[in-house]
Amino acid sequence: MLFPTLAFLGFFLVVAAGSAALDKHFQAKKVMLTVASFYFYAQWNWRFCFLLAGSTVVSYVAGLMLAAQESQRNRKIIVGVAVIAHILLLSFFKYRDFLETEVNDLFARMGVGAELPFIDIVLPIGISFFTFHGISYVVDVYRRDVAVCRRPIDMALYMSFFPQLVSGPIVRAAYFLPQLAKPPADRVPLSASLTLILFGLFKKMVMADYLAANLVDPVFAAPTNYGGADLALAVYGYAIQIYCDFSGYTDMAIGLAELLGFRFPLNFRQPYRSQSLQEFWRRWHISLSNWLRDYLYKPLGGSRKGPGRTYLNLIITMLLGGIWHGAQWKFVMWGALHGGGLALERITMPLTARWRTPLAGRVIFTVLTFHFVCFCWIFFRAQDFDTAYLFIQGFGAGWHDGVAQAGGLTVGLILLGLALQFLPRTWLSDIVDGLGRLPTWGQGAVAGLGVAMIEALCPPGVSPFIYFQF
Amino acid sequence: MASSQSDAIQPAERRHTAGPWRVLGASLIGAAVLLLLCARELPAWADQKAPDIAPYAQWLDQKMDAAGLDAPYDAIHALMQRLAGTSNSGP
Repeated sequence: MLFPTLAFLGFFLVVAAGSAALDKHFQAKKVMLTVASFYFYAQWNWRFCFLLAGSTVVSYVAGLMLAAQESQRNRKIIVGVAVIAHILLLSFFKYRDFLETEVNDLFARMGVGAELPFIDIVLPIGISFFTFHGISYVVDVYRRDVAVCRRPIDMALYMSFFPQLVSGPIVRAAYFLPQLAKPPADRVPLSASLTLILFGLFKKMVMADYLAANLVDPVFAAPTNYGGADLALAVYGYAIQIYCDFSGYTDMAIGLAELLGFRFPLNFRQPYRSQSLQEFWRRWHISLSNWLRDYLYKPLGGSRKGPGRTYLNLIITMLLGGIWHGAQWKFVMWGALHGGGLALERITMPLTARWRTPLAGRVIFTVLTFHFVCFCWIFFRAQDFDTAYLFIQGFGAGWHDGVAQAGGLTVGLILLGLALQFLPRTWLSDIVDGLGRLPTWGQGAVAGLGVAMIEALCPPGVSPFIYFQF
Repeated sequence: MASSQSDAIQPAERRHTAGPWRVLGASLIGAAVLLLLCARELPAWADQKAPDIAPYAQWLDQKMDAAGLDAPYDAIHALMQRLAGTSNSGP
């Protein structure tokens, strides 16, 4: 059940009605939201609900055991077992195919006749996100960064809350569980929520889907058929597409959660205006970047063990971040490039620091950072490693053929996507303020009109969000 | 035990608020406006996704068409297509 569908609209109206009716009965409201979230998840495949429930039980029980245990050694064992259980669950579904193929290739090269049997198992949607929620909860309880969750319903809602269930943002226990401890004191920021939903819908349905259908998909499907100009525009197009697709989903998730009385954290902050890779990762998919920093980079030693170890930790963290996206060599390459880039940036920072201050320096480093990120997107988006290689080779093949695939509107959308990176935040606040001056019914009517206009603009059909596959 | 995550919606954008019943009211009005403006899409959607309600969607579309209520759909589509500078599919 995708957000931009009539089925979801019907589902949300029922949930909003339940939320209003149970406003004075917070415990019952949490039960209703949990049931609704499992129903939402079951729309993909009801069997996946058992995985979600299992992950919830493991996290909940591990939390209780950690709270009851004083011995540091035993606490380590408990957190270790819980984290391994989560990682095994994720690995089984996500990396089994990849390992099977690689092992069978290795057997074939070594002349071993045996072959691992192929088992076709569908990747449960959103498994990465609820696994990350589970790991962050048990590790935070172990570190005493968050109080243990004693109400099973709170744990179940934290793990399953439908706006973030399938594509994030990764909401940390220390951020979300306190919201479940008592009814919200604040009223719903209606105009801000509706504005975010509309803006997210526009980015996804109009910008991302149009760029995908009319530029990115055809060029990446057969890069050898296109000249350098189309290839370059397809890469810029993909940079804007993935930003609009993912940040659009996040905006909608944030708006929907707020309408039901819950806050979500910021996940994107104009990432392509970054002047360094380090800054990029503080602005792009912030909840994942912070997760990798707190549960991977810091436990590896972070920057506490000398420069050499810091560079290695950066590379390892980004490599694993790449592999998290999928068990393919192209994602390994994407992670390695980002890890290597971050390490190189640290090494050269003392030399480049003074060039970064003047306006011209800031512009140059912004352009450099954006183009490095775009280069990495080629590996991320290409069908496989070989296609990415062909794509890059195409840049040297010729630029005189002009533009065959990209039209005026696609270029316009790319420019609009880039402009969004540099607009001051006040433009959104002004819209929120303007909408908020209308009476409630007027805000609803404007939202309905806005969705209808977006629907009229966007390509036919609804394509899945890019991050659903991760 | 403070969280390191910051709210997506800034305090300044939280000035205009509503209670849960008003949120439901706004959602219902929004859905009604959307239904009115996208009624033409409903039969096609129902055919694909919810065949059980397809006859009702067809009936609703015919009734709305007869009453001239599909006009806003046509008007908004024509307007958006003109704005986008294309004739039929997509912006």
